[in-house]
Amino acid sequence: MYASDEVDKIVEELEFIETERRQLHANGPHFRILHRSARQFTPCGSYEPVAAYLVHAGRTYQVRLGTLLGLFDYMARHNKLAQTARQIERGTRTGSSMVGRLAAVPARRIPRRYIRVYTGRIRMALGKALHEAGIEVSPDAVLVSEECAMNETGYRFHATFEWLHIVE
Amino acid sequence: MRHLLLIDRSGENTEVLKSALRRRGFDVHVEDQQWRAVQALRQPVPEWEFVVIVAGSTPDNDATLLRELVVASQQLQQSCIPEFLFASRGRCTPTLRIRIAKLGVHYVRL
Repeated sequence: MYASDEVDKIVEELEFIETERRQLHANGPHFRILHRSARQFTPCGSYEPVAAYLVHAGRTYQVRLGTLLGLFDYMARHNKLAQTARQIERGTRTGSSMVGRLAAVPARRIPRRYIRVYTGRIRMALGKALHEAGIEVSPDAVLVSEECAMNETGYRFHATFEWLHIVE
Repeated sequence: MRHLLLIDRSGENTEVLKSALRRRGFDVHVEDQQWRAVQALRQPVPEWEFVVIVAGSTPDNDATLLRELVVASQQLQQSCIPEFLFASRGRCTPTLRIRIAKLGVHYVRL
């Protein structure tokens, strides 16, 4: 015979799992982006992203993005609006709006024609992290492609983000 | 109704747990036989949303079953892969906890 507190513990845990699943479905997965001071790279003293983590069930899983961290960070900061390759290119043109390794060289931008390839690679990295975390969500549902009126594709994250700044 | 598969290895009367879960909107199906539970997970219908395994006196043996169940649930391409919950009355060793976590299974100590 089960004691009532044993039943409560099972039910409580099931409710927690259900809420977690519902939130994942509604808001997408949660990511943490780690920034550190980039004074040694840029004179303006901006921050550069050093790592991105998927946070799930109290654990963190690194999203291995390599040099794409800058683009990931940029898209994360603009995730409310779907941005086309043209908009991303413009947005990353000036070093002031773009942080990360891609901004280490002043006025370096991401050419429009590369965006599609880069988003594909970001999806690959996301897929690995999601698989590692045991989240049954397609990376296409996290980095969403949206058709625009002028035969362009807009990219937007269906996810939540937080930034941690390390001051060295 | 959310379909829940309850695998009780403790040999307890599951009626109390079953009715408590039903009150909270779960459609509970109980299995005590290992092979039947695996078979149930391999069926396309119903689509299980939750699988609860209540471990017996030796949770180590049940962790082996747990792995078999997780694999069985993933073999069938369902739109919704169930969430697993491993409930244990006895203490699980840290090594066992790690094994359970690696399977992506939630754990609760009763």
